[in-house]
Amino acid sequence: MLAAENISYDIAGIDLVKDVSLTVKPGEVLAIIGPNGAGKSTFLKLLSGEIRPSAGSISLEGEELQKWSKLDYARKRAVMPQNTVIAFPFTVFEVVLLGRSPHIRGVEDERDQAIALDAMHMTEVKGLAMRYYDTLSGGEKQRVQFARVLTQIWDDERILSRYLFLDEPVAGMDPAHQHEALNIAREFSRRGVGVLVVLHDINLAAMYADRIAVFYGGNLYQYGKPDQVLTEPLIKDVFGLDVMLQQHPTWECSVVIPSPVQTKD
Amino acid sequence: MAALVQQTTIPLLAGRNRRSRIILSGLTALLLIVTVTAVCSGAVPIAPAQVTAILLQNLGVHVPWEFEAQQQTVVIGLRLPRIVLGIFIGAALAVAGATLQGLFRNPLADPALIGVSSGAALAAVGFIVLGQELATAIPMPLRSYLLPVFAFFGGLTAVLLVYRIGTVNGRSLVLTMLLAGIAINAICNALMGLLIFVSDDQQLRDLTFWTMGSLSRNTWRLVLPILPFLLIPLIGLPFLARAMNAYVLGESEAGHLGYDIERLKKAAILLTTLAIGAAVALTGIIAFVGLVVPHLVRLLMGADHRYLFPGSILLGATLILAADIISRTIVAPAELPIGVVTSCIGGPFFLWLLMNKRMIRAF
Repeated sequence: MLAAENISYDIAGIDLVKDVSLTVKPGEVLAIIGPNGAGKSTFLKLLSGEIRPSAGSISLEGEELQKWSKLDYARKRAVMPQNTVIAFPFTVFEVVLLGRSPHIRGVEDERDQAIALDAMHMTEVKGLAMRYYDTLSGGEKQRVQFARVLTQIWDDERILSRYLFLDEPVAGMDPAHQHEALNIAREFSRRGVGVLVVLHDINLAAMYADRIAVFYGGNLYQYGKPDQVLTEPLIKDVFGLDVMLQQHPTWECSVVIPSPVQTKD
Repeated sequence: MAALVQQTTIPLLAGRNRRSRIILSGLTALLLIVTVTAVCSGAVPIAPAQVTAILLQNLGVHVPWEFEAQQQTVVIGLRLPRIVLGIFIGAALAVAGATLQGLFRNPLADPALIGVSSGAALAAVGFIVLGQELATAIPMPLRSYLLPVFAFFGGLTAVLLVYRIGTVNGRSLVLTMLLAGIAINAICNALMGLLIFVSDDQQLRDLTFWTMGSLSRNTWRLVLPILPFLLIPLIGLPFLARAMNAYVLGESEAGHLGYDIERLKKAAILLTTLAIGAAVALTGIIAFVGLVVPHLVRLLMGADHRYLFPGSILLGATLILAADIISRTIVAPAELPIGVVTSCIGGPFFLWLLMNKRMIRAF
């Protein structure tokens, strides 16, 4: 269990995250939604250990996160960045294999390669294996990075609980791949991975998340199951968007239907 | 999910690794060939058999091939130290270049870029023009070390300054660092220009050595004390290979993969400074090797630093030796500065590569 307790983070006196308590549980997809500048990415950076909270504490499996070594933490949690540029001619396969870094000494063995191939198969980039990463389209790059982070936290009996942090993972992907990516994230959660995903698309959050945390102005504004959290007034308050909520015709979730924004004369 | 792991592995990596090992063997063979050629060629050509006999005799083994005493002096006293120097300098410059490119995540990064080369050169030039009084105060046997020591600390000062400016709250900002390097280079070049303006004729010739590069400062007495400074980075930098691989993804990403990024950056900067400072101290600024050798190796074997580092070491040494053979023989008995040769051959070759291999996208 990865638990943030009353954490805050400020830069030059401006609070980016204020007094947030939130827990990422293995077996669960937790989606963070909120408008631009709400502190979503900062919160993800705090939990991933990239930055330290200026107040409050984060604990992993009951022990303070700071006490975990970078390597031990890297063996159980992977972070997918928003966009990654690689300036050198690395092949897709080499990039994905980098996900095994925390688990190996020296060179990747056959199991590492098999894991990388399976992850690439999952995110549908196996056919690109020998292409140079920097020749790919934005969406393809995202899927390669997704395969890399899956490779990092692939099933390992020695590692009890694992975490997957995704910061806007579907940006740049086509609609089919967006849904496939989130389905993979949910599949991983069902196998004991705690998934934390920052999403802009409220409908994707409604469909794939077990819990939704709504960030607004650096605060945790609302938290709970999707159908409890997502209401027309909340979306109006937080996003400033007029929407209608309807039940999905075949799936147990709400669908957010925005009203078009019109310029008033 | 273990069940998903396929039993039949597509040998993607095995193929690449085998190919890379073959290429590394080829580069090793090439270095050996060029080394032998370098011993044999020069103003006094000496046959390989005679070279072998001379070397074996120095080890206490006598063989029937005849050679003259003068040839022995040339091989042992002149060519060998020069070749050892060339191998170490080429290897150090190339591996330092590869490291800096990775560190700045910029394929255009160059040892001269972060100011080490020009800082070292400025200190050397400053010593030549202004430091003669200091030299007389130092006991004779130590005097010949003064210049290399000055160059080394000049380089170190420059890089520490760049690093200091580019580091805010313990995190280094790559772009700021690059810009600081550019500024330091400009300042060093301006001050060198000023020094050249006030120097006399003999000093000017020494300055040419420093800014163009040469392997002529090559007696065992001068080379041996500096070799450890080149050897430490040559041994140490390849240990950073896997961390450098992760680092190409970005600082945060490498951190998320479990690497201590601040430590990696400090180690990389210290070791490359050691290599470049010592190299400039012994041979002046030899351009192009640190920039182009890593590119050539990437074209041959890909960008994985586990192969890039050893490949750069081998090819860097080979290229410097080849360039030195040319610089010693083309206008014999005079000698061209090796930096002129490396730039003349390497520059156009690099342009040709850029146009043919479409490496532009990497920029």
